[in-house]
Amino acid sequence: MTTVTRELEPQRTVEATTEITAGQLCLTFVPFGLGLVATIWYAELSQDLRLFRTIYAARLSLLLAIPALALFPLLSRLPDARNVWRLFWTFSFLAYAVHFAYAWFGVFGGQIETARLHPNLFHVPEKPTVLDLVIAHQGTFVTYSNLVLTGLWLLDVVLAWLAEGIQGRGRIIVMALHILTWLYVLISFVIASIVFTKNNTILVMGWAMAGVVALSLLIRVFSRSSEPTPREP
Amino acid sequence: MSRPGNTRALPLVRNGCRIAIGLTLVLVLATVVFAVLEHSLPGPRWFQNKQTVFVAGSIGTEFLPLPVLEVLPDIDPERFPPPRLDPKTQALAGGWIERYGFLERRNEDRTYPATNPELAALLKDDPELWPLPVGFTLSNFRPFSPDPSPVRFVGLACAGCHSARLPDRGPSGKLVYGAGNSGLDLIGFFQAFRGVLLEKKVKPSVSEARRRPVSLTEGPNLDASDYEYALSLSSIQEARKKRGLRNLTQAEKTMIWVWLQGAQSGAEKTTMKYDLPPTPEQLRTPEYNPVGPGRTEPFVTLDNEVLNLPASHNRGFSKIPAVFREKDRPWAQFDGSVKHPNTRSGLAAMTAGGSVDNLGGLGIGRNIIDAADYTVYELVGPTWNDIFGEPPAPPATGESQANDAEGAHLSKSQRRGREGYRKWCVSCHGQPDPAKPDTWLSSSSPDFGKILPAIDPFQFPKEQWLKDWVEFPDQPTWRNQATDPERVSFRDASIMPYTLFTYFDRKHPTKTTGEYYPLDHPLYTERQEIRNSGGYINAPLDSLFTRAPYLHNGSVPNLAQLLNLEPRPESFVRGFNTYDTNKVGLIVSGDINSVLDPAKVKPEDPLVWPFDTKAVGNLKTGHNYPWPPDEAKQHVDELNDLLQYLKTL
Repeated sequence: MTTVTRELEPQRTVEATTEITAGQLCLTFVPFGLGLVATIWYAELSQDLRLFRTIYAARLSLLLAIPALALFPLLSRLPDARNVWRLFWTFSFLAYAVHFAYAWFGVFGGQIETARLHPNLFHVPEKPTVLDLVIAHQGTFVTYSNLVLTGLWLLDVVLAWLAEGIQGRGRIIVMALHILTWLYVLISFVIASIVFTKNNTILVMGWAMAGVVALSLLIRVFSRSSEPTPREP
Repeated sequence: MSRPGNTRALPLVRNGCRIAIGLTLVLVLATVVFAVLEHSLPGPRWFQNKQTVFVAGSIGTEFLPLPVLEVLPDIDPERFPPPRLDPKTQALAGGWIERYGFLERRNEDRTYPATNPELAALLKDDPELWPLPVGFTLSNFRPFSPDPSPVRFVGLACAGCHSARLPDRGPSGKLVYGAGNSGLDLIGFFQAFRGVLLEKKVKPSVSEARRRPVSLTEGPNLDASDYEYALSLSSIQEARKKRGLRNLTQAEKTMIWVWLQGAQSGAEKTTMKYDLPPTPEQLRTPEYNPVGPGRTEPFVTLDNEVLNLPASHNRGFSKIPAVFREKDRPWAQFDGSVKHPNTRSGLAAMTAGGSVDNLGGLGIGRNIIDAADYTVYELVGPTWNDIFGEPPAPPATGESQANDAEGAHLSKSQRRGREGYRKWCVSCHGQPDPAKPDTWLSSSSPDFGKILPAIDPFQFPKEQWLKDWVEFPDQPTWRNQATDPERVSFRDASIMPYTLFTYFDRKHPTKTTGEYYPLDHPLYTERQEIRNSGGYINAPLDSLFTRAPYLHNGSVPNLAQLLNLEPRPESFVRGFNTYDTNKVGLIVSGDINSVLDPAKVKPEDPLVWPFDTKAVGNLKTGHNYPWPPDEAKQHVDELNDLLQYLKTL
């Protein structure tokens, strides 16, 4: 657990000062854990475990990202929500990692033997790699964009936990990275769910996410900043 | 200021949270362990040789756990009469294997083509696979899924249908991979399997008094809850115990229980579509089993699966075809409806129990492609000599022989027949390349690969005819050649190609299941490569003698009848017919009254089935070529020569 003390710096600071409570963990870990359990087991009812675990893990990631994406713009207004944001952000990433692993090693990796024998059928070069298969399916731009997303999100989660108290220029860089990742994840989810519209379930989730995040931004714009109260002398 | 109520509630909430976190953590850990164990189960088996895939590779047709198949004859001996273990071969023979026309394994050292070492080792080294009939597979795939199972499932490989003993299944019959099994009652087999799944018996707890029928014409007053499935985990375990078979592991029991739930509820749900399965006696009658031996009803399955229709009207029967040398066929299937061999093989697997999901899955998709490749590039049908050990007639000698290097192996009659073939047959069917025995020439055959319409083309203006249709000058000429139209004119024929295209096309906007496929599905086909041709394709005639009975619906038992040298029988008896080397085809009895009342035969007796060529889908008409029956009588010698030559293809 990370402990962050609330201090009044010469410049405005918004970090929460609490350690993670059982309530916060319960609020975030239980949905993640149960969602993950459901992802693994519910896919047993499908006719392709790897594929449907990939799909359900992506849905879980999106669901957990909704509160995280919505809380992020409000962190300066709700400093106590910082832990909840970090936890949702982390668990959403972990679900995304499950999605990524099943997609990379299960769905695409599972086809690599066949693709090596029949590269023309898969529209890949001779002796293809998993990356070739992913590119053949998703296209170069989307594939590399997803790889950047994965790396960026991982870095962002790590910084959310480790670079909490950083000050000065580093703090600005971290904040910029948080904003960039927030935007990147948001846009990626919007494109995956609303633009690609693979089915109604993910479409509804995508619109729900967009609505909640839009509401959060509106609150951020129209609400007064909760400047920290100066410490009593 | 704190409120007393809150102070008391907080620890409760906190403890509740801790319990929830702990329980979730336990669940997550247990699930992760489960997933890891599950992924450690045996995955797809990769075979190097494509013949191995064709004969023993899974193509997604898994339908039954092996431990259940082992005791099915104990649970339902009427539908699955017990086979015997042949002491010489250590393989199962007789019983349900013979009843449904599967081929028992023999200690054969001669197959055609020769069995490759990988396949031979696979059969030899797997004591569970060897006893099963030819073309059965064992895999760790679940039914309809490419996912791993702790229990081995039984399925059918391509060779399950496309292998036959030639000239017949007698002791000297040679196992030929790729030939259509003309004795296989595939539909009957799967109907019987549905019957076992749905068979119910009265629960032991129901009193004797309640079990009694209330009258001669009514059964007992029993509710649905008074019955239980005859096939259950407990009945399986009990039967295994009685037979002295090994106990099932907990993982196997769980998998079999899960399979039973899915299979039985699936069978119950689809009774609205398929009706209840026929009884074992009914399965021997054309009324309930109109397909009979050696044929399938491919479009019924596709109607059922793709259009979700019962298709009880559908009589688009299709002989189980030989699948030799498919590279010489520009379009596959009798009706030339599918261009891509992978799609053809995938659809065939689907009609034998594959699903859109598992055919796209790991291992299975690759096997479909490899098996298709085998039939396209490697599998060549046998010659007469390969099966009978000698040519159909000794080659001619003398002066004419010296001037005919191409026909050095032909008798005089065959040479005359060859000239007839070149005059009458080549334009539609092409001919073998004398220089390269494995090459079929079609470039100088204007109507090769074209469709002979089975639906009346003259109901349309000629400019609307499909470009691949063979052109006819007038309606009577067409009518003389057109064969039974049911396979291409059934009710949903016009929407089937587009429906199949959308079913497997991941990019189509109205797609359903296909939307999930991240890579092209093995059944994926370009829209222009799947069609309803409206007729039957003019195809090569390689290994023609192995393709009996003739016409797409198997309505003409031998070649002599197809050439109108002899009248085609109105009705005949099908089953395990022996081979007629003179007439080139099946020896059939025309006395369908000899077919026993199904109630009087034993369950293990092979299917003996009356083929009525007047029934819808069974018409023997058409292909009156070179001459219709009346004119053929004036050309007996020419036709006899042609028949002799056809033996050499």
